[in-house]
Amino acid sequence: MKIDHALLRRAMALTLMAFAAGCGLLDVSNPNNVNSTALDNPSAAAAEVSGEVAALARALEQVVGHIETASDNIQWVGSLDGMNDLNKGNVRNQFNEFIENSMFGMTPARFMANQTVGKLAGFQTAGTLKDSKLLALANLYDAITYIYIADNWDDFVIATTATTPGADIGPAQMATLYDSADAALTRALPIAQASGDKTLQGQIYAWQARSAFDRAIWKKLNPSGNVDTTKALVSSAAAATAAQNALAALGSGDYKMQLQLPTTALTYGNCSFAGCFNSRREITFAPAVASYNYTTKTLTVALQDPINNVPDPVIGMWATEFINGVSLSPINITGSRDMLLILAENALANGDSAGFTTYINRLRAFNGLTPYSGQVDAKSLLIYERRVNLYLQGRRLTDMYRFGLKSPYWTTDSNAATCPGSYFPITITERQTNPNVTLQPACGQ
Amino acid sequence: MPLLAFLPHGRRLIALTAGSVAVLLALPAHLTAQSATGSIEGTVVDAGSGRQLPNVQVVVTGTRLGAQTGARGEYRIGAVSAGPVSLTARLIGYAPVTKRVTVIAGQTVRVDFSVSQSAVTLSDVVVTGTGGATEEKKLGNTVAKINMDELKTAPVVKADEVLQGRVPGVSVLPTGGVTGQGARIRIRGSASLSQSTNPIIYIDGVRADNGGGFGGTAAPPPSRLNDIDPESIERIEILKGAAAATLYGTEASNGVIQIFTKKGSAGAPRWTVNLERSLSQYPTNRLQPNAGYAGCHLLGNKLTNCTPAAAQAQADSLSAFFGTTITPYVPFQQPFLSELFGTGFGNVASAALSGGADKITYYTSGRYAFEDGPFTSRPFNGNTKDQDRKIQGTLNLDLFPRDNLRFGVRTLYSDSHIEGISGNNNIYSPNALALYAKPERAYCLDDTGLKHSLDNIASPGRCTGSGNAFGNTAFATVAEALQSSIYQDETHFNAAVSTHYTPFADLLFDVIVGIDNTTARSISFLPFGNAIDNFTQNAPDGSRNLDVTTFQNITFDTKANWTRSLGTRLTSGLVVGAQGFITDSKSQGGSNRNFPGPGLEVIGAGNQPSVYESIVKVVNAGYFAQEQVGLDNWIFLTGGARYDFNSSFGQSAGGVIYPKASISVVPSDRPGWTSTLVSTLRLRAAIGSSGRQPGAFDKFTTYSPLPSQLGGGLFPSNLGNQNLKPEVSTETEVGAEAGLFRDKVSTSVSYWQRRVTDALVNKQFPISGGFTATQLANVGRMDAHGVELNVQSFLVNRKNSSVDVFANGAYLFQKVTSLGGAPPLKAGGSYIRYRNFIKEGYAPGATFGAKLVSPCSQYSSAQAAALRANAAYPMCSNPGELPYDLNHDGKLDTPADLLAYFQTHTSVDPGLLNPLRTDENLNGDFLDHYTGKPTPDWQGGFGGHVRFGAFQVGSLFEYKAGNYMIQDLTDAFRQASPSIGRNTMEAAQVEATLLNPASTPEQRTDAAIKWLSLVALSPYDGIANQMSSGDFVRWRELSLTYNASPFVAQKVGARDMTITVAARNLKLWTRYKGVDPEVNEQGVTNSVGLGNQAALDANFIDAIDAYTLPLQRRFSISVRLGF
Repeated sequence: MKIDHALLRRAMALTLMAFAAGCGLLDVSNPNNVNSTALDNPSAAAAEVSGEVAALARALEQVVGHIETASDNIQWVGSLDGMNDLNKGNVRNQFNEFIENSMFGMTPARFMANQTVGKLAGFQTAGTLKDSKLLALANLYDAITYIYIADNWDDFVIATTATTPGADIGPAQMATLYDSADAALTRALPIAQASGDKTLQGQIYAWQARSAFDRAIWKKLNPSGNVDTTKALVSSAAAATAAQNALAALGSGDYKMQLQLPTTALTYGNCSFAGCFNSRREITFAPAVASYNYTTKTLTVALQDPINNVPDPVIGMWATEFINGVSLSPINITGSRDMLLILAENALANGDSAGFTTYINRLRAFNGLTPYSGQVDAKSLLIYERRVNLYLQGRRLTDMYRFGLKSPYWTTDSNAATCPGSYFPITITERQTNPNVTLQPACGQ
Repeated sequence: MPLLAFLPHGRRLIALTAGSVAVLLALPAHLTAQSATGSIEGTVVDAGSGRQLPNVQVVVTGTRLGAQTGARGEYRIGAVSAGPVSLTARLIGYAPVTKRVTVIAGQTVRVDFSVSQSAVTLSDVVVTGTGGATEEKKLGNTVAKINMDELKTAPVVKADEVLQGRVPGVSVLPTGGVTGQGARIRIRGSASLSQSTNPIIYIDGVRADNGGGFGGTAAPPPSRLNDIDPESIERIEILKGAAAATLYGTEASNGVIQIFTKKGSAGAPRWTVNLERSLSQYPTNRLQPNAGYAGCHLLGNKLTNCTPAAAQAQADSLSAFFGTTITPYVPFQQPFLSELFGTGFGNVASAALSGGADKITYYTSGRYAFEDGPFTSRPFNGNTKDQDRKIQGTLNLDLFPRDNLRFGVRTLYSDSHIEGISGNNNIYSPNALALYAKPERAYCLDDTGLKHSLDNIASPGRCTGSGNAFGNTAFATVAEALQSSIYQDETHFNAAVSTHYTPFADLLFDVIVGIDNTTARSISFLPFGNAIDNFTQNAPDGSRNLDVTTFQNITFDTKANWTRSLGTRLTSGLVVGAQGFITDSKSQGGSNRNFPGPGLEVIGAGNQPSVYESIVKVVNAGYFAQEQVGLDNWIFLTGGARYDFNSSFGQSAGGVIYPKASISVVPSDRPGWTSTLVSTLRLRAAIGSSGRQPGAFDKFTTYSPLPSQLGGGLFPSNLGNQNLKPEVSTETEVGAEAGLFRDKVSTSVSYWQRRVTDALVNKQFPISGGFTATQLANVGRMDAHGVELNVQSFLVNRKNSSVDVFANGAYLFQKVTSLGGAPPLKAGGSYIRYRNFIKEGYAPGATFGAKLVSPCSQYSSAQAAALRANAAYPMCSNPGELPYDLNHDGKLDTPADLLAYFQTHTSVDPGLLNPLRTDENLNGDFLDHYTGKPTPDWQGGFGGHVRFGAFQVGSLFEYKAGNYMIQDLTDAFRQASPSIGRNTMEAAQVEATLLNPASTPEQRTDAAIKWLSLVALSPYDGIANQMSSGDFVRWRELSLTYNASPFVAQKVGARDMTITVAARNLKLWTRYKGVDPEVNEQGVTNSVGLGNQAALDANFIDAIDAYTLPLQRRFSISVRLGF
């Protein structure tokens, strides 16, 4: 058969052309994410701060829920036995998926906080940061991140690079995180003052108060397992001063500093706090506190105000907000009530009954409750007011430890029961990947 | 600069290939000249029985001319060039016969064939990626083949069903029994730890979507493979691994499934019509009814106010509700899940037309298939359906401008509508909720919908209005869950344009350009007001999720094949070619909830909008060459390689080479071979490489969007690794085929060994670094080997009867040899109940979990001593000791200790008993005990056909066996969970006994000991009990076919007619304790665009039964008519 050489040549040429063209096709773009180098651009500063806040909200949505679950504020009635284990008081189980979720939330939050502060400080130095208040915000949320880590973990790792294993801080050194928080707040404050933003200044003062107050509590609870419940009250002049400053800046109203959960893919893990509660219905309020009938949509508050002897309206306020938020209930992280409680406790610890009464009554006035005038034991009232005013904010477990309270859901052999002061451990994923973190510290370390 | 650089990147290939087709169409006119012709006709009969054989392909060798025999074995080929020609008759199961004949212009010459059954298939022609059809005997590796002609009477309605049980080494893994669900397919296990292990699929040479899924919803996923009308498939060839699939390059390491659709042949139009009607049902014999009991054990009311009167009051209330007498603390049962089962039905109607003339042949078909499965929400006025409707069409044309030139056009189109059930381990799945239900919690509400009412019982177990008829305790009631509707509308288009040009007898050019496009729109919808029982808080004002995913593959494939003789003894076959494809996957969607009122069914109507968009594009291209040398037509040596590029590394990163070599020796083809015992013998060996590239963007350190209350934000995403390279899978295969007793019996054995080096591992770096997602790194190694056996025999072949049988089996061993120092990886993310791990020294996906304290005799004396020395309690037991320490004395309890305990503890929740776990390696991790692997050592099938007169019975069995363990999460929950379980009869009895104040200490002691065998949930109890052997034999197919005689067929105006009554999944024999050993939590997923964890989950969430519905039984009757 005759060969058509021309056709053959055409076919060969086409083949070569195809692959010449194909080489150019090999470069594809990624429109889904941004490369890390983009964060070096000063125009990304706002997005970085927002990412820092989002990362923290994402973390606290887990941390607060899981710490609350370990307290007597709520009861686990669902199917997830890791949450059940937390409800039983086992907060040091490094294999617990929910404790692990908290760490998976907090480690990127810490990273984003540190990185954002560093990058924005660099922009500031270079004169390319258009809005200095962003740097104040970055530092504020950096501080909040440190405080939550110090408050809720027995030990933690802060790595210097994304791939190099860092050393653990050490249980005895966790209080140094409050130092880091204080330093960040110190950096933030003058910027906020220069901006004239009173709310931002108030927030910074509030977290200065929290840092000092929480550090004082930390000292009472550490080393774990040996809490002197007779010396539970915190006396902290630094906290009180900062709390006064905060209230002055924030005004006389019932200011609440909240983290909002946007709808877009913020929740993660198998069970978000509000979602598990309101949607899955695997968590209920502790019956001693409140109950909610989803059929009749009726909230019944069981906890009674010790002076008015009525269902506590503060619980009603927080519970209603929490239920109405469904899966996106806001996270209350501090506010006027928190500051008044700090001031009241400091006063009580220093034998200042009048001061205690003043601050407690400012607190009670938010909900129209009868002023305190000695009707009940002051310390008991403080513990009560702290419970109701900080309800669902992840603060109860600390008070249970230092005041020697037991949850009806704790088993006798649980961490919380046997080792008061126990908090979250460095969990298994970090331990498996970080040769510097091998053994979990024992109770008392 | 590329010659086509002036065109946008994505269009160059199209332009190029369109150009190539145009060039070929513009061939010189002299190539299409015509010469004088004649015709050939004749009959083909079975040499053994004398039966006239239909469907025999009779072709003129070296041309495209041919015909297929009709019902009476007759054929006719027209327009054959005058002169001497060779004529070959081929039929699967028969040895080909070639005859020489001289065609005289203007005349018809008669050539009759008598062909003999042969179980040996060495002469079959297969396509191996080398650019041309090749005789199987020349290959050093096996190519599995499924000929659809053999399955005409099999109860097969989906393409993945075609593959089940027929090919050793090919695993078809159904997700579950929801109508329309697809099956995952694995070939020789998993050749990658982190990349998709879906085999790649080619349809008529065009790369096709090999994934599936129900985007954005939790519904059981369909498979895109099932978009193909099985009636339109001519045959399927399967390349099982790197040794066979080297020339397919990157992504072929998990095997290649090549689907060839039917083509027409010259001759009069031939119609085929098939009508089928089917019924389907779920087997209920393996479902444990929901058990409960009246007593004082309501959550939130544990052991409080527990008086005999209170227990009796609950019993009286339940007695009224269920219409039966219920006694306190005596468990009773209700078959809740079965109440969601009815009888499904299906209809299939298909028609095909084929034929052709001298210059053109055609095949076109259409099919309508509808199935309304046995799941039903009708008794609960629900919206949930399980339906699968497909409209499929095929149009294939072949144009022959002249004998040495063929243009082919292949098109497939499918339009699907699937309605599913939110499925598997999903708390809002109606079937899961039915199994969560605790009958003692059942109630009806009054007319206000607020209070329990005994007045509103419609009938036993039913309420007139709202209520909680099954007794759900969390999430939603079953009736509320049934308000949901989940559906997918999907279109799939596959088209190829091919040019097949033979400028002279020894040289062949092939060009294929094709596109495969799927668009799936998936919806999950809860209407406004779905909380009809005033129970669910999930989205009582409604919610809607929308996902639209488009998946496009553009394929370009060109090859030149030059065969020639190198002297008198040597032959040569050289193939040079290039192949590339562009994969473009786009997904976008959104969700919203809280509609302002009823009737709104668009996502814009809610108040919590959320949207997303994802774009992934992968480009792969490579060159390949292969030389095959034959010696005396019985020894064949092959060597070749492919050099591949991939967009994962960008333009400057270079490529990777995948080499191959093989040898095939066929001593029985050597002159002088006379053995009748071993009538055919082939020995073969092959080695080859293939690989997997990392994901398109894995090398970059990236941040993903995450908004906060301050606005748009960025969040750490991918850690990035600039040193990524492809992982390489190298496979060695040796084997032999033997035909015995004049090829009445065929045997085949293959041994293969695979090593994956530079394996891409999802390495977890310390999360304290801020990037919590795993990062791909080339640090792993995985080894595997296996044996595949196949035996087939034509035992009897007489005029009025025949018997043929077959059996196959495949042994699989896989081991993760190294993770390069990376810690074990867990499938399922943080969800701790999925226990599949990637761990050095174990099979991929092996399971690890907790273990109860076990007898010390299981351990060495040193290990036992160490376990006994544990401070808190002995972690192995001596005879007479139980894994309890209820009296907290630091010692294991004896039954006497338990008895003493229960004398003072009159009501004990089983959840407080705390069975003790062991830590065998004393490393502090109670969850790291090996509990099994999710893949069986052996799997395969066996079956056969018996023909007697006009009737034929066909049957297929499939089995899996050997170290095959399934995580029975369903029963783990049902036994152990206090809130949504303890509702099997055994668990309810234990709990009732322990909580009943009237139980004796002895009864409680017995119950506590029984509890040890039931407690199962991970990780805080003993997980080992949830593992169950999954060995099974399933009667997969049974069919009885009546082949009407031509006389009878003509009564209905047909040329031929068959009537088949068939059953699928007829019977199951298994040691598995759960509902079905074939179901799995994970379904079909797409191959691209998966994140690291998603890819890990897609590959290794395996052998997990989590509230999955069992496979359906299907009974069908079909009529097939030929005209």
